[in-house]
Amino acid sequence: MLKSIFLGCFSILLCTLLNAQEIEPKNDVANAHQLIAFTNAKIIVSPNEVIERGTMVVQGDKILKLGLAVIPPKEAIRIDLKGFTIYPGFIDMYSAEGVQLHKFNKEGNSPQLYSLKKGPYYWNQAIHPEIDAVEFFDPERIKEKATYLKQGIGIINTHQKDGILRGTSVLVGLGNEDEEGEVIKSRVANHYSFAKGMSKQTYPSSQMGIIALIRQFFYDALWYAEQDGLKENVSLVKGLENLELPQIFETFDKLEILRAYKLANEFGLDFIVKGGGDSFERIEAIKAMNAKLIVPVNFPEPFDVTDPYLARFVSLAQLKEWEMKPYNPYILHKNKIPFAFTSYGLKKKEDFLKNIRLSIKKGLSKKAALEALTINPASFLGIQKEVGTLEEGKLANFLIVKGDLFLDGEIYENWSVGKRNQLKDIKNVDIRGTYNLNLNGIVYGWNINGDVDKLTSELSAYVWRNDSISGTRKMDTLELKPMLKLNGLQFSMTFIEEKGNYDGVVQINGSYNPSLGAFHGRAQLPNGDFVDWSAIRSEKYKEIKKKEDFQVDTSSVDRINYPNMAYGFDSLPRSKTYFIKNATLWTNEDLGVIKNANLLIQDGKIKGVHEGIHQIPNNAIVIDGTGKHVTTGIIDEHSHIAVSKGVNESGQSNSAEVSIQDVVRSNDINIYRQLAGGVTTSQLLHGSANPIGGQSALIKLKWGFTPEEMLIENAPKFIKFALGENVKQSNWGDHQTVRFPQTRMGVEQVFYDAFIRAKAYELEWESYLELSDKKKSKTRAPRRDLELEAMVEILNRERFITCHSYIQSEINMLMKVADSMGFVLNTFTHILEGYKLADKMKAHGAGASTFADWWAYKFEVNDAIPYNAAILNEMGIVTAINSDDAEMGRRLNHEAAKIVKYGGVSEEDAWKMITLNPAKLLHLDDRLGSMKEGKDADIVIWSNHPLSIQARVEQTFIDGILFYDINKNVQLHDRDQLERNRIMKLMLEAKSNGVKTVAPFKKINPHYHCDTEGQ
Amino acid sequence: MTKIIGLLFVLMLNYGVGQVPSPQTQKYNRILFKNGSAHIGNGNYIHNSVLAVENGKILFVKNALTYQLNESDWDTIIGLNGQHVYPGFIAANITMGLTEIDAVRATRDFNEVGQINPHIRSLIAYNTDSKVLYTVRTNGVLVTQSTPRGGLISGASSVMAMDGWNWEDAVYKADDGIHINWPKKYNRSGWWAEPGKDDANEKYNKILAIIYAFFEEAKIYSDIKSPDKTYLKLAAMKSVFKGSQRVYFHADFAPEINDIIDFSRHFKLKFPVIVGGYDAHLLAARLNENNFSVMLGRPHALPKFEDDLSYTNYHKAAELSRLNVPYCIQSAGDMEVMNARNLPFLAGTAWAYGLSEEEAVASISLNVAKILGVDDRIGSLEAGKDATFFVSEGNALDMRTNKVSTAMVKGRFILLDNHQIQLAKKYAKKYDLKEFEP
Repeated sequence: MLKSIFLGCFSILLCTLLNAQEIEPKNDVANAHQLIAFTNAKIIVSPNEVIERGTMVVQGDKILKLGLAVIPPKEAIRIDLKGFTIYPGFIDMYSAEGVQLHKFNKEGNSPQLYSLKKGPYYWNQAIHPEIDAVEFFDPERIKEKATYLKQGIGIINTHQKDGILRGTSVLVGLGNEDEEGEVIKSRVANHYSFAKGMSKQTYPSSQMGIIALIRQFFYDALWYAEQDGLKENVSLVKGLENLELPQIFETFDKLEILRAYKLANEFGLDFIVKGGGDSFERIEAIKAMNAKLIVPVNFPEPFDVTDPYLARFVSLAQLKEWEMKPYNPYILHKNKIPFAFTSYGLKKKEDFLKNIRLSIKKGLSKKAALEALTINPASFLGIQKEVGTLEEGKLANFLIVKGDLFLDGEIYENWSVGKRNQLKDIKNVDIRGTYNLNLNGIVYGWNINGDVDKLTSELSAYVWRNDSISGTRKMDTLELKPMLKLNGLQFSMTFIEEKGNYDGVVQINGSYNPSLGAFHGRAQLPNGDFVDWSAIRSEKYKEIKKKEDFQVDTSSVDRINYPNMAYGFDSLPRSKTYFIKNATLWTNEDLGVIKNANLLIQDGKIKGVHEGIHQIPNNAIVIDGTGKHVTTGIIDEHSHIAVSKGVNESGQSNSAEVSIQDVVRSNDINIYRQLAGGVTTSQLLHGSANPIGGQSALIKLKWGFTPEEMLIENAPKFIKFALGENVKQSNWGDHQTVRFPQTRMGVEQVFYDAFIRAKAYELEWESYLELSDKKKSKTRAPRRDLELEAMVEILNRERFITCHSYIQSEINMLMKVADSMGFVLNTFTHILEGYKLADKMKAHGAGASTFADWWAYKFEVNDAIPYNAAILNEMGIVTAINSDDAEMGRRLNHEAAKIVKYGGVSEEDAWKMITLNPAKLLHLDDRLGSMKEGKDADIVIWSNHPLSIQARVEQTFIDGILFYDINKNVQLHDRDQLERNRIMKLMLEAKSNGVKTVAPFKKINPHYHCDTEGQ
Repeated sequence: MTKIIGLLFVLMLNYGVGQVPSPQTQKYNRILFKNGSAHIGNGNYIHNSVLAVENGKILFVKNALTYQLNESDWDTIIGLNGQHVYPGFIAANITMGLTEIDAVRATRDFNEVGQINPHIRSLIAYNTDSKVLYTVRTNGVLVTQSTPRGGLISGASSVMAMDGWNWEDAVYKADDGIHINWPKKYNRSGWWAEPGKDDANEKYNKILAIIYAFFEEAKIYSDIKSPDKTYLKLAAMKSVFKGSQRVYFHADFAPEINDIIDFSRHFKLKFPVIVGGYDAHLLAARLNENNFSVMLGRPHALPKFEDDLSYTNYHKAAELSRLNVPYCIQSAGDMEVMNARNLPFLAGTAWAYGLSEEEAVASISLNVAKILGVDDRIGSLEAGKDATFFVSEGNALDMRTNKVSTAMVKGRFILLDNHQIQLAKKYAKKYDLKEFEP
């Protein structure tokens, strides 16, 4: 009783939601709502419930009744589905089909600094939460409609695929050939991405800029909601309103998934993230985020690896990606990460089911697959009451399938929200079997076989032939392969006989009588005469059961390296206790360089240096350091490795709000290469495209770990500033001449402006926070401005500046700005004319991080000299040598050695320039940079004097973990060669099995320098 | 009267320099450098040597222990006191003298418009007053192969001394060879800041056909004794077919190198050279059979494939040496001109990764001279060759000890001063840094 009341309420609810068409006046008399009863079907109600033989009654677009013992209403049309299975129809919750893009045309070549969207909208053109896809939806634009339907998808959730905040999506039933798809629900979900899209506005130009912009937008929207009497801003209002909806975020790989969740956690949001199908590579981290994912099945095609020289262009990472991506759904399921499948991202949507079946072969359970196609997308979108399972009152969204859909079954019909799509004829009569065919008195043997909808047949007869030589008559056998066609019960067939019973084409037409299993009709002979024919079945067709070749193969599921590429670890290395004995230690402390000395590292820290070692733990691994040199790890003050999608946020002159911390790329091979050069810590700096750049990431090169794990804990905060040709866009081409500033004169004013505004901002907040609660409630709170907050941190000496600099005039200027604002410019990086004003730098208290010998690449480095570091050092300035280059980063010991050559700095002092001095500049010298008990065990063992050209890195430790070992390196390389070979064998097998292959290509990851512009 | 002087003499020559040091007038005819550790350049080493110079040529290099010194034979004798003597290092395949500041277009003179430019000659653009040049020779790099860039056929390079009043004065070998930028089988999509991927170059065969066609045409033209009309491009190819000019094929990967070998065989080229040659070791046998040499790309470069060993480029010289492929090390690449002063350290790295020390010296001296066809005049400390060499206080292949104390080009002492040293001195004086000595 209770149940029926509940159901009643539910139906009313559904009607209001679904029967919008009732409102529309019809150009016709009223039509009855057709009732259709599907009987004798196996019904998969949900992933958890199956009715082996049941009935489902559908009226219009919803399920009226469903069950084991349902008696169809009298007026219902019955469709006997004996031998068929009804599945819930699939929902593809990530689509951009059918929604028109809203374009703005930018004129001219000059950079576009402001949004072209006029009106009360957000200032950035890539942020448009006010777009409701329903407004731009046109069912005729669903180009892939037929393919969706063939793949079992009846409902899609589609949105305007453009921009960062994209607005809301619309849920659409696809309809059928005659009827357009219909909107089921508008404003279904709120969409985001890390892609700027069509906006040509300069900001943001990088992924970190996009992340910062999303943050700022949220703060703006929250602030706006608290205010009244402000000017209308539709974007801010809608942006906040949309937070009530499911939040869908588009990303393209595992690291972006983590970035999206980092944002989600900051704002307490619940994101559903569309990934790139490679989540398995960072499954633990993604699981820890309580992720809900939308998973594409765009599995890569195998490479054609027949030519060994061309196969080299394909990296192990690419090979592994091909092998591993089909395991992704299984691994997600194994880790209990809920997910929905999407056909989005497939080159050909026709591959959707095929690839899902492949993932089932790779371990995914059929139940989990069905969940990912039905109830998961339904619950993600909050429409589980309407769709996802086959239940009374729900939308009639279902599939009629012969066989097991997840094995080799076929979809006969796809009912998309009550609209019927007949993909195959379920009523197809089975005429297959063995017949005797009598054609005008001649009897043929006749076999009809093949698939019901793809028949083949053979016809045979005996013919007497005259042998002209012997004069005898011989009986011969005639074998024919006629073409045939069945349409309903009407049948036609054509065959050609040459000098047999006839000579020419014989055309047959007839009707089939299913209850008798017999044909009869008329045939036209080669001479034009019509004659009678008939056939009667002597034997029914016996289905030759195909041998089940279905086997689940999870053999490679655990072959994941950290990171999943060449030189990745089989499992993450751990900190151990090491005792290095009898080596030459470069302590960078009062002890200086000590020979025949010992070093103990334990629990990730330096436990003892030589005489400071009191006891050697039993579990210590002893390393014989005879003839070897041991140093602390190299610290690169200026690096741009391991950064995703843009090292410069060049869209504005001040981008203090962006942070490299948001975009650390842990799978950059250069991390490993630099370990091989003894680097253990790097400051990943923003580039130098604007006067006030972005915030740094201070990382340890912990190869195999996640970006978050690489970030140094409680690291001091840094920000990049820049001066000179890059910030005034001198070498950016003829069109880049409008962004302020274009001269060194303007650069000064950018700084003053930023700091003066920051001071005012701080004051505004201070006076607000001092107010009593009562007054606060009556006062308009200041708006949070992430850019100015970073500037305030600088003023309060909570954030330090590393400034890209060449020419003395502007270096002098910036120190004057700092003096007047009451802070110290921490580090001038590059600082190639530092030697010209070393006295001023000394007086101000700035440090220097420079190149050993670079010059002559730009006009402003014409006075750069390799003696710079020596002079600065001599003047008592903390001086470091940096790389700014992925290649040179692994030879910083060479670069330090050059300072011995140019200017005669002592070897110990030169060595400090790449260890202790950068540690000081980074305010990390309490933890890094020298061999002192309690400091981090970031240690490098060298084959030789570390400044010698002969020096090779033998081992690199970070936090007591062995990350690089010269011998292990070769072993990993050998392992990778075997792994390559193993996967290439699989690819060649796939190729010989007829799988389409693609020509080898090389994936490129960009290498950044300071002046690398754009993403 | 013979003057026996120390190196102070050479330092005194530095007196009174202007913007860039000027070439010196030679005072002495017969000069003996004694007690230097001589790295001959051909793989040999004499720990304690005497090196004699007469009329600008090396008279002999001998072991000092067995040499009977007669002081009156010499105009001057310079005691090297165990310092190291090296043949002038040769920076091959570089835009030296053709550019000053990479970012300033007006100073870039190495890339002519057009695809087929064999008639373009670097020789006449070679700027003997380039400021950069003087910061390179102070590290022992005394000769350069000034090389144009761009297009399919960039033009002809010339071997130039890094000292001279003008290009005529500086030239060692004019138009030593033409440079072909062999098309790549893989092209990069996207742009430099946002690269897509390296994808099969669909135009590869088409471009190949263009190069073949041009060579066919040029060969026919070169066979005509006195052609009616002069075609500059075709005429520029004559020496290639005569066999006096090198053909430098710029290519790295095996599929292209294989095609280059076929090409070279087809046109029966006498001196084919692979420039770059990342994969040369894979095709060593074929390269040797077909008379190829290899000018290896910068060892200080990242691996071209992610899966390659981190220091794969450090190893390549040793690998080619083991496979007996004639090779040398060159340093083309980013900021190549200013970076040419690091050429000794490229060889030093190859030494650390498999070459012997003297092989490493040869890789930037005699090996280069042989490939460029100037080994009759330079490349080693051997009798009859030009006195183009330098003295370093310590091992010149190690950054710490590469300190060039004296150097000769074509028998002339050169001034070891440059823009950067002058600036260093200027400011050391400002700060009164007495100890500081650039």
